[in-house]
Amino acid sequence: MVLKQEMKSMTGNDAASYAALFAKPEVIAAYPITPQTTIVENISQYVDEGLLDAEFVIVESEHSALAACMGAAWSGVRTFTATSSQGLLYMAENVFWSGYGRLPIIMPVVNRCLAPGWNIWPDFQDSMAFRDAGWIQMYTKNNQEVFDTVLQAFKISESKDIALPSMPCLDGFIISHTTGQVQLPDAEEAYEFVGPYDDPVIELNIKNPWAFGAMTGPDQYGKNRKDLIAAMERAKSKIIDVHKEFADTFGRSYGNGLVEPYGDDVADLTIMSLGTIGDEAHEAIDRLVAEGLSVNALRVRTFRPFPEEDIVKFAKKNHKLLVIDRSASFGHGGQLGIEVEAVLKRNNVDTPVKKLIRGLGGEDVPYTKIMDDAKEALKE
Amino acid sequence: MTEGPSQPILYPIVGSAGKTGEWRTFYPVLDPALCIKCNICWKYCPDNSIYPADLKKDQVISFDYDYCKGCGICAEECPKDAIKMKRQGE
Repeated sequence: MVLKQEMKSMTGNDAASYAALFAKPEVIAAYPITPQTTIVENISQYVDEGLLDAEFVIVESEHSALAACMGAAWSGVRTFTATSSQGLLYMAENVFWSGYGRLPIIMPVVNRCLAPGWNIWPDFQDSMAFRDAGWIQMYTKNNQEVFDTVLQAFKISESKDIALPSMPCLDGFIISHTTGQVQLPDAEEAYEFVGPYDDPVIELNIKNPWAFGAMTGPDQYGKNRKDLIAAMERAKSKIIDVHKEFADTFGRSYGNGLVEPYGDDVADLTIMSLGTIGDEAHEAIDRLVAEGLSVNALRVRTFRPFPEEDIVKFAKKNHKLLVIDRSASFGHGGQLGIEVEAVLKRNNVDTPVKKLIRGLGGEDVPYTKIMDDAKEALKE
Repeated sequence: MTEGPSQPILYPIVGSAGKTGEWRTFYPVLDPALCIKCNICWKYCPDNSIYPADLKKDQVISFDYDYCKGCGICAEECPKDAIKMKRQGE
């Protein structure tokens, strides 16, 4: 039976902080940066008002914010932080430390482009810079999905057989500062879904002390990294399972949790993208179909681990892919585009792929623009 | 219970990184006549390379030269200047 929930109006950042509040992390360490700031401001208020029994560590930088979360995670408690853009870059060393160190920290990244030109608007350049850091990355399309994804992230990351940090990503301002409707479950029922973190991945033990991250030779280092590769592979089915359990409990789903198809099963053109462009594409598709064109969509919700099997399966039965990226790997196209091409090639699927880069630094990508791009791709 | 991830974790044992005293440039020497057995040097030693004085046996401190890296903190902290640092080979 699907649990009863209350419809509320809130921003995407509010949705992220509600999910954190309900999951009851014991340590939060954070530093403000636009457009993330209101997430941790909310949480600081929850702690101040006694709604959340947690240690809120005020730090002097993002590097320290993640370092404090790492220390807390090593002691075996649930941890949470959030950041954006330059702040994420300032964390860089510790982002890799916590990914390769297998610490299940949950850190929403409110996507914002990188300087220079100083700019607070969204693109995915910040989180894309960390796609190889050993973090689970899930890109959300609206406020509701932010809440749902942050809540699911705790359950996925903290499983001992996964033990990976999670970076739920939300487009800055388009989601973070825009008010929308969010179905909010009862706090205790949401906590029950996540469950207590009572079988920690790693735990401080003063009777049997240990040191972490010591000198490691090539043999053992290689073993550790292969274990991470295998954990990422396992994370695919874990994400599907947790997403399914969430859907059964709260009545909402996003495809299978890895990818979300939209429209007809088979079409002349498939629009693929991440984040809010994936949502905007729905509007474009409805209008294109009304004009008599054949277009569907596949939004990639989980970018790490990369849902190779699902993408290949969908691409195989469709005729042409249009991949729209909101970030660039300079010298080699957009990250989603090049990875889609790679998995198709590896699986001998010859569906043609057209790659586009749109919306950098907050450039608007309205459905009209997506319609123009789709029509252009259909003509070629 | 599920096993945790493969991690670079070390549990403390004596000499896990080999006989690190080989790195030393200076080494500490005690003048036993000056030692008042206060054990301040033992408390400050960052490498756990000082055997503490035993008041009951009237025994002064001594050094574990297998692991002492010759940092000189003991000599600096000794309130009686009973420890002097000498260059290896002298």
